Formats: sequence, C-alpha cells, structure tokens
Amino acid sequence: MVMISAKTMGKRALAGALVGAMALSVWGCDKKQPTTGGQGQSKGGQAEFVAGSEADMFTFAVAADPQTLDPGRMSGAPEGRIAFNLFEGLMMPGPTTEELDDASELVVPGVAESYELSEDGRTYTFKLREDAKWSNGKAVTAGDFERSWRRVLTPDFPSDYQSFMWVIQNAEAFSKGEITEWSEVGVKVIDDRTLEVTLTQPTPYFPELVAFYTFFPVPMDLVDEKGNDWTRPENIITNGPYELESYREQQDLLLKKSENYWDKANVALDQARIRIIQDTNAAVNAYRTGELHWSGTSLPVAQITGLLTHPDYLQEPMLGTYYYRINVTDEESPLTDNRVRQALAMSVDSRSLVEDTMNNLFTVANHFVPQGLPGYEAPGEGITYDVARAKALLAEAGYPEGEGFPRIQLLYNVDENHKLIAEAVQSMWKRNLGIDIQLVNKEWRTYLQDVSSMNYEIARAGWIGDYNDPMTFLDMWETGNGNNNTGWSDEEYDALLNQARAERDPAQRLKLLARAEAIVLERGPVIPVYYYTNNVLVSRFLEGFEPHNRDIHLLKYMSLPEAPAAEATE
Amino acid sequence: MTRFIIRRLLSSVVVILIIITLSLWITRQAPSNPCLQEREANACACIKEHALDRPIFPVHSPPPLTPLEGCQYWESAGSLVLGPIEVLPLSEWSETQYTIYVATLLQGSLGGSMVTDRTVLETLGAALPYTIQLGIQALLIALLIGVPAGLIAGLRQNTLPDYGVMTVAMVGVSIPNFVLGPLLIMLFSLKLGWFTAVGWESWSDSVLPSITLGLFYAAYIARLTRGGMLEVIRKDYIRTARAKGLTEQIVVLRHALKGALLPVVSYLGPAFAALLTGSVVVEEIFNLPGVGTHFVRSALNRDYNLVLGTIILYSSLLVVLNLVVDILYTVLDPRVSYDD
Repeated sequence: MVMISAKTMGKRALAGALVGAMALSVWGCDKKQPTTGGQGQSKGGQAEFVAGSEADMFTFAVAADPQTLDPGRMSGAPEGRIAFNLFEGLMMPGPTTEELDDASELVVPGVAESYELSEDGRTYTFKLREDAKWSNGKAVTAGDFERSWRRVLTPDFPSDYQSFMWVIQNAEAFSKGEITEWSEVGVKVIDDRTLEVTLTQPTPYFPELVAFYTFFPVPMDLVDEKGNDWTRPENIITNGPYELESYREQQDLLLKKSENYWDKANVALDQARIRIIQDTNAAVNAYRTGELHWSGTSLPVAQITGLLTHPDYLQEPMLGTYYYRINVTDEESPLTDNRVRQALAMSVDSRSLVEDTMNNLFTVANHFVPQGLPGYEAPGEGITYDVARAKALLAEAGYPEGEGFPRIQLLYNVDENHKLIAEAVQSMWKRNLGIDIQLVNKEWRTYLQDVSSMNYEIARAGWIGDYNDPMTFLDMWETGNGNNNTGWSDEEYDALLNQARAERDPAQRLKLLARAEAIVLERGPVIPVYYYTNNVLVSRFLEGFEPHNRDIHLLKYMSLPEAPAAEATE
Repeated sequence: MTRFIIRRLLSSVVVILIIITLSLWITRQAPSNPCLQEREANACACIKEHALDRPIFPVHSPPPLTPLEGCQYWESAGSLVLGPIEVLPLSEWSETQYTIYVATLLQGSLGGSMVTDRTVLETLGAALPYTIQLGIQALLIALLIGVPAGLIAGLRQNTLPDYGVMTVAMVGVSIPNFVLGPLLIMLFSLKLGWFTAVGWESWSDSVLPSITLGLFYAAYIARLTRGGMLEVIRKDYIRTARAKGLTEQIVVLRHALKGALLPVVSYLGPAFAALLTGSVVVEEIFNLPGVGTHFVRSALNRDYNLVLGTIILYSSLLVVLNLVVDILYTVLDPRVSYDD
C-alpha cells in the first residue's frame, strides 16, 4: 500500500499548528458537564460534540480525491477505501486482523463462496456463488474475473500493482510481453461459476491477495465500450455492497446500497457519504463540528494530544514500519561498512523517539517486520539500544568517538513528524557516537526522485505491508527488487527467500523468513524507528468498526444504531 | 475604443501563448515526474501513456535521457546545460510534448490530468465557480468595509475617527489569512457552532472564508480611499463646487467621490486577480473545492496538464480583468482615452 505522506506546505503546517493549539486551548481542558441538546452544545460555552450529529447519513472522510475508481488501475489509500465498498473480489478482507490464530481467517468469502487448494499448494479452485450480481443485475461470472485479470496483465497497462498478480503462473512473462499466449497464464475458466488459478509456487497469502482491489472484477463490456470513462458516475457498474450515486470533485462521493448485492440483507447502512477533506486539521474540525462519524484518516500529532482521552479516539496497530534506509552503493562512504550501520542503528533510542518525540502515538520497533502476524515469530531481540556496543563497533570500523567520520546527510520529505524524528536522531548520533549529520528535507516528489535514483546517503522511509505475511516486508530487500533502492544485496538472504517460496510447510516457511529477517537486521540497510499505528476518531456509537492492521474497514460490517441524543462526553 | 480592445485581445493571445510555452518548459524542468510513486510502480506504462518519453520541443539542446527500466523519459539535468542544439526531423515535429499539447489546446481541450481520470477542463470547471464566488464575495466585503472607512478617515483627517479607522486597517493588513482563518473557525464554528468548519454545501459555508480572504483587502482599500480623498478634496474643482454653494454631501458624493475612487478602481483588477489566485491558503484551511487547491496540489503532484490548465486559466483572468479595468478607467476619468 502506498504510504500516504503528508505533502504539505509550510503554510499548512503552520495553519494546522495554529488551529490545533487554539482548539486545545479552547477545548482541551476540563469538560465534565453533561450536554443538554442533541447538538452537543453545553451551556457552559464548552463546545462538546457528538460525532455525526450534523450529518444526514453515515459520513466519513478520505484524504484526497480518488485518482481513479478503476480497481485495476488504482494504487492509493482513498481509492482503496472506496473500491472496497463498491466492488467485491473472490474473497474480501474480514472485519479485523486482531487476535487471529491463522492467516486464513483474514479474509472471508466474497464473490467466491468457497475455494479448494490442491495438494501441492499451487492450484486454487474458486467456486463462485450463484447470486453474485453486477449492479445492472447481470451475474458475475468466472469469465469476468479472467477478463479483468487479463486486462491488468496486459503489457503497458498502467496498473501499479500488476506485480501482485505475478504469483500466478506465467503472469509476469505475459505482462512483460515475453509470452503472448494468454492460455499459458494460470487462470482458467472451468465454467461460469468455477475459476481455477495456478500459481508458480505455493503462496499462503494468495487468498488475501485476491481480496485486494487489483484482483477485483470490472465490467469488461463497459470498459471496452467506454475506455477510462467507464468509471464516471453515470456509467459505472459495480458488484459490491454499494453503488456510486454521485461524485463531486473535492467535495464528496455518495454511496447507496446496491439492490442487486447478494448479501444485501446483512448490509445495515443504506447509504454513506464520503467527504474529501485533504487537510487533517480540517478533518478534525469537521469531526468536532459533528459532520463526520469517522475521521477516516490518521490525525495530526499537533492535535492528538488533546484527544487521547476522548471516547471516540481509537488507536489501531498498523502493519507498517517507519525506518531509515541506508544507501550502500558509494564505495567511499563509511556506510558500506556494516559495523558503521550497526553502530548507527544501535545508537538510536527508539523508545525515547516514540515516547518523548511522538507522544506515544506509535509503537517501538526493534525489528523490520511488525508484530502480530499470525504464526510468525520475530528473530531474537532485534536491534536494541546499546550505546556501548555501538561505540565499540564504530571504533572497530576506524572512527573512535566519531573521529574522522565524514559529514553524512539524512534525507526526509517535508513534514512535521519527519522533522521531529530526524532532529532527535541527529542529536542521538551526536551525543552517543560523536557523529555530525546534516539534515536535508525536500518536497515529496523530489524526495521520491532522490530515493529512487539513489541520490541520498540515509533517507527516511515507510513501508505498509500489502498482505499479512512477512514476505511483504522481506522481498523488498532482495537483490534488484524495485523497492530496495539501497543497493544492498546478500546472496544468503536471497537464497533463504527462495527456499521459503518453495517451502510447502507453512511453519517451516515462516522460520526461513525469520532467518531472513535476522540477516536484514544484522547486516542490512535498515534502521527501524517505529511501527505505525492508525490514530483515528470514530463515533463510539458505530458498531462493527474493529481494528484492522491494513486500515481496511468495510461499510458492510458496520451499523449505526441511533446515537443517544444527549450523551455526556468524558 | 473598439480598435483598442481588439488590439489588446490580440496581444493577449500572444502573451498567453508565450506563458504556455515557458510554463510547459518550466514544469518539465522540475525534478521528478507525475509517474513516480513511493513504491515500485508501473512507471513505464504511465510515461508512455502521457508521452513523457518524447522530446519537449522540436528544437532542443539534448538533456540527458534517464533510462528507466525498459523505457526512457526526459529528465532535466537539474541545472541548465546548453549542449549542442538539435533539431528534430520534420516528420517527428508532431510527436513532441509541446506540439501534442498545443494541438490539444487547438481542439478546445486542456488535456487530461496526468494523475486522475478526469480532464483538466472538468476539474477546473467544477472548481472555478467556487473560487469566483469566493473572490466576488471577498471583494464586496472589502469594498463595503474599505470604501466607507476610507471616506470617513479621509474626510475627518487627523481626528479620532481617522486614527481609529487607520489603526484597524493597519491591523487588518497585518493579520495573515492563515491566522485569521483558524481564529474564525475556532470562534464561530467550534465554540459558537454558527458555521461549519469545512466544506461548502450552502451559502452560509462561504461566509467565514470570504471574510478571511476579504479583510486584508478591506484594510488596503480603506487606505487607498483615504489617500484618494485627501488628494481630491484639495483640488480646484472641488473648491469651485463648494464656492457654488453646493452642500457638503453633494460635493463629496457627486464630485469628490469619483476622483477619490480612481486609485481604488485601478486596484480592483489586480485585487480581484489576487483574490482569485490567492485563495489557495483559505481554500486549504476551509477545505473548499476551489481552483487554488488544485493549483498547489497539481504542482506538488507534477500533474503537468493540470498545472498548465490552471496557469492558462489564471493568466486569462488577469488579462481580461486588466482590460476591464482599463475600460472602466475611461468611464471614470474623462482625461484618459485610448483612441489614437
């Protein structure tokens, strides 16, 4: 999943900080008076609020206009949030990722009522339900999936997540134009209700992949007829619990329950309004004036302190890691020496970063793969704060007390959070190792350019997992992977990943992956800083909203019983 | 007058074409491109889709080509290097980014956004009414507050009302809108609950943004009006009017006002243009669906077509507004004439 990074201007940050500071001064104090009206106004002049009290239907916010509503071409969080409600894949993400014993519980049947897995773990046979329909009443068939997937795999088709499909036999070769016969790709329509998918290797997380929007079906006849215009509100045909009623750019999208959805009896919310609110401070303001039931996006650190005790505040763990990546391609640079990288990593006090710098909004990371993946045991202690050991390593590498260490640059993109972290790390390295580093911040796109062309020394990075499996955090460090961007390469590491890919026993496979992670932590190009969490405001009267580590929340699981008109907020 | 207008319009077209040419070149000089994503993505398909692998102009000084796995795109060197000048063979002239774009314009389109599925015309068309309404309301607020305040100050020079009005005006000019906006939200939305804090659903939602945007101009117009009044009131024709025994009211309203407002009128064009183009921050704070937000975001996203579309829109507005002001001037000031 693409990390949504704040691509903010200084003005916005300033404005935000101002609103935040002022709001806190007005509202962040003692407020223990019962409210009297449904408007959440109390007589004492302290504005209380009831989420959604001003909204005429269930309303939540997304942080940007969707770039497209075409699941085959989309790649962002706002788009995904919309697609998961408009469309339905063979499987769909379940309501929560917490407390699961087994990765198979992450997804629930969607268009497919069941699937069978072959003995060798490579062939999935999906059985489609009879009553799955498009919003125009036509049945959703296995052929719809086959045509939609073929479209995504067409060479030069602008799909950013095309590579997710490469686990399917010959899919990669087809999408790169190396083979032209579609029949060689492991997607077979057995009949209207049976789809057989053959993978290159056993892929335990495949059911979770088909629950991702790139694998969703699109109405191919309409796509062929209208091209990219098929997603316009007046044209679009969908197959999920909701239909798109209208879309006003920079304002909102209206969804209404689909009459043709097979499970419509269990969809409680008849309609929903998705407000487009780009600025997180504005989103908080909208929430506090009762216009939203769910802030939708993570909240700005500046405002959150005053909201931590609010009953609507929710922190959900995220499957994501904030870290620093190190460029190891410059032969002249001390960063090619693993002892130096280890010294840098060990002298970062991530506990202090999380607790003091980040107000406990995130969780301390000693590993690269976040906690909580079913069945996965992280290797050992990971990277722990150990100044003495770091000093010794640095001296061993030829820089006792940081003497003679060149001035290296730490790159981050313009954002208040990144700045705070970078400044703290800068002073830790100065204090613990005697090393001076220079902070360089660049606007988002330039930063991306610098990272992808490896024009940096150390750079801030974030990675949100695409599925609940360590592989989504580990394959990026493989030699030549397009997300590596550090020049780091390790034969033993690559071999372990390939072993894991071929391994049929799930437990054994995860052990191999843990060994691979240990290598990344011991000699890799990574300094973990914290695990992301999602800090949102969500109405406490909303039912069915449960923590999900990929921030996927389907409306079909939610319901909104009438909120008590007057509810004292604590 | 008609000839003057036609002449001005023709020169405007040339000006806008020069602006387009320069802007197109400048957008391509910014580092990065619209196809780059944080994670490895299908950049090649995107680059081909938007013809970004083509030269920018038929005549170019070759910039380095950055090969990108399997496809190439023109990446600026980050500094202006003038190498040997190359001219493409005529057959390839229609295939450059510039000619493709100009051809799109000639078809009456502004092209498609490079980031979203929508066309630039759609996007700006949806946003423009909000920005214009916001601008007009802000300007009205500015005039309704600024002109009377300036007149009072000008007619009561060096008295308490004068000092009072001018002090307030000074404060008004000094408060930046990114401070005023949040202050208004805090007071009228969060505390009193009179207005919504974000979005634009009904007219009332535009009140706070209009005040935020207009107040600075109100203060400025007050100072202009005061200055204009002070200048005019000492003029001979005013003394003549008074000598004829006209009442002070008629002297001020019928004779002095017109002259006193000249500096305000000539400021209106640039002010309105500045209101339209300067609503970026206010739109951001109040989350309004206007053009300003697109302008900033398209630049940040390197959505070249949307950037150019916004530039064309803004420059056309500026050209037209300046023309309107010049024409208004002849109405207000008989000494000005554009006829040869």
